[in-house]
Amino acid sequence: MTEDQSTRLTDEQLIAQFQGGHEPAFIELVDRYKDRLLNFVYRFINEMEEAEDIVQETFLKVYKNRHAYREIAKFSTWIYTIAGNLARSELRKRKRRQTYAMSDLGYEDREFNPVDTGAQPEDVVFNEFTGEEIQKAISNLTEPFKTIIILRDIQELSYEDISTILDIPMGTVKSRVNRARLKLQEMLKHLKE
Amino acid sequence: MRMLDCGAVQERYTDFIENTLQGDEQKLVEEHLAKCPPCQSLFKKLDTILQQLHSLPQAKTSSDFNQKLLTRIQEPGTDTLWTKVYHSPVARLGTYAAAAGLVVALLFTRWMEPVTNPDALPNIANTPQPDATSPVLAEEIDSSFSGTNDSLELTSPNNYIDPQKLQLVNENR
Repeated sequence: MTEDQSTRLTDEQLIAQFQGGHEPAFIELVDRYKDRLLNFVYRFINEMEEAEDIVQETFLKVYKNRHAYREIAKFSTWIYTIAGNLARSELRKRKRRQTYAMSDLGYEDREFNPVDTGAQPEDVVFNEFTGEEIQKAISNLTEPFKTIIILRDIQELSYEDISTILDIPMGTVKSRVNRARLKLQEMLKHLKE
Repeated sequence: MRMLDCGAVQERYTDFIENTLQGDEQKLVEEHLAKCPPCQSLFKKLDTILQQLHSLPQAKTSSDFNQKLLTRIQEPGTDTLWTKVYHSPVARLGTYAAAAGLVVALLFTRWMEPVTNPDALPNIANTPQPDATSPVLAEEIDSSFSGTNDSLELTSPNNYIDPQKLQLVNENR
């Protein structure tokens, strides 16, 4: 398969070829997704080396379980689900080893508290944040907010894809995106103070 | 006239920037922002944060990522037996042929059993049947004869002749 021919094939066509025994199709999928998944997992666990290892694990799972994929969902949502589950597992392992400053209350337990715009001092100059500050603020978000910010605002996936990956209704995706953004803004504000 | 408070406006930030608010809500948010500098400031900050999120530097995998992955794939035990069989058309065909042969063999065994092994199934032909001409039965009948006339009448209440009794009579002879 020439490069031109492979670039014309969709992900779903490639996985179908791979299921039929054509291994170069798998390599093409690896090349298409490895960097995207690395950024996704890295933003989640905040460690580059471990993130790359998790991405390797993701592709290993795809390789071993290729026949489990059915074209009911997009290939991208399937592979993101695998990577997300592995990243979440890693994070939970760490949680058992560490204590966190943030409360472990889940999303459902939190009430929506509007940002107290009246209390913001008018003389605080709003500067752009560094990448490191943004990454730190994302790391401090609770898991549901962290996942949704990464998928929507960094990976730029559609609401539909996010709904499939997280197995939540579209309406919930949108409202969670909004709350996550507000929460992230609060986190960044605290970093600057 | 309906108005939105700061909380309600903040809840609608994402829909507002995507222009997906229903009815007159887009206008209500705009009106609130025009009169509320803190919410205006918040929306601007959120816009800036989003822009930064969209333009975060993208990490790349190491140059030997593919090689490391292929090495892990080639490690023993990576492929399950099922994927190996499914992957190879010859192996798949062999597996199907073996399965079909097993089914045929089972069916053949099941159908052939009564002919090749007549003792395997209960066969009514082998069950000793009472024979009116046999001496044993005659004796049984004789012992139960109670009538004074020529008609034979069995005295056992249910007219049943126990084959075990017949055998005993034979042994006692």
